[in-house]
Amino acid sequence: MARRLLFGAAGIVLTLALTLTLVEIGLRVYSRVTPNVDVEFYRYATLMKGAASGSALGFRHAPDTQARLFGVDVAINSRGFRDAEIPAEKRPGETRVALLGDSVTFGWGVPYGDRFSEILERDWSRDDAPLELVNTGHGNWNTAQELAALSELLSDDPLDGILQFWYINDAEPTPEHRDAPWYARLHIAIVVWALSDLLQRRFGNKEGFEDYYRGLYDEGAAGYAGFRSALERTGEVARSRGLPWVFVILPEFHGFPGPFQDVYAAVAADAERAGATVVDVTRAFADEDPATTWVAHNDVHPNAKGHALIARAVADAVDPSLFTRGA
Amino acid sequence: MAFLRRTLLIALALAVALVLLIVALDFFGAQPQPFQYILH
Repeated sequence: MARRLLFGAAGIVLTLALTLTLVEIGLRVYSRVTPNVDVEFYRYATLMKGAASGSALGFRHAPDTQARLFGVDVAINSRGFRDAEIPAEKRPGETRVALLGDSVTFGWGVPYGDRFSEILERDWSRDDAPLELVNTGHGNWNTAQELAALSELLSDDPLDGILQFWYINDAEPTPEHRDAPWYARLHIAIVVWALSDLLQRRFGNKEGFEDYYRGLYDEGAAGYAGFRSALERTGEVARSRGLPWVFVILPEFHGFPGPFQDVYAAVAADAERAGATVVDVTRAFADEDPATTWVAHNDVHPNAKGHALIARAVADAVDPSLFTRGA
Repeated sequence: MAFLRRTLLIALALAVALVLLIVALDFFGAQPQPFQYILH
């Protein structure tokens, strides 16, 4: 009797272990065929990010790192930016503008060269008057962290302006970076986490993106005061350094025009009060099928087409001579 | 031997079913989810 029970238990344990192993293998094979956005975000965080202790940055890219993320080659330069190595000294006639933003500006899922930063550089540069956009875009950064990038990482740069791209989650509180637990290396763990989150948002009581994003801008929301304060401080930095500051409102990419017009208007008012010249590019997407602008069916980051739309809208609204001052 | 073979077959069947389920659910993903910081 005892022997049979023991055999039964051993059978169950062995079946379970084998099943989990085979599922892990199956998911890894699937990820090679169709990159899984949650697995790729985890890889981005573990391969390229680290804590920035004692800094308002919270976390930042590890310099000189490379990885293939979501099917795209990503290279981080010696300063921790996904950009070319930009010399400390400007070239003759060069205009240099700091580009602030989050994963959209970083160009998640978009090859270098197809991002709006490179498109604008090509559009705005002349042979005798090159324009350099220093793309500091960083996944999961908020407006406060972008301010820290401007104040800490670009404090000595010979800048001629600031071009900041706002996305609706930029009012989140600064998250605390933590090292990944051991089990997070398993694709099973990431997938189970992601599916659990999805099901809770679809069928449970966890907020979907509409309520979540809107809640970020409620008076009293955890990150909203910090967001407004960061805008004011960015304005102060811009004024103290004599830098024109352009603040670009990006659309939330799930749908166009989307339900956040009032949030865009409120943020535009906050940015204008802080001293920015506000450019709203949300209307550039009004006639587009949202799914044609996403990097994947389950990831609404803008793809190359989305980046081209953003670049064209900014180029139509901003005269680059705004940034030229005796360069 | 029969015990091991049976265990392996059951595990394989379960694994295939689970992977197919996960792949199927993946195609219904993203819509309600905001961007999230996975290590926080």
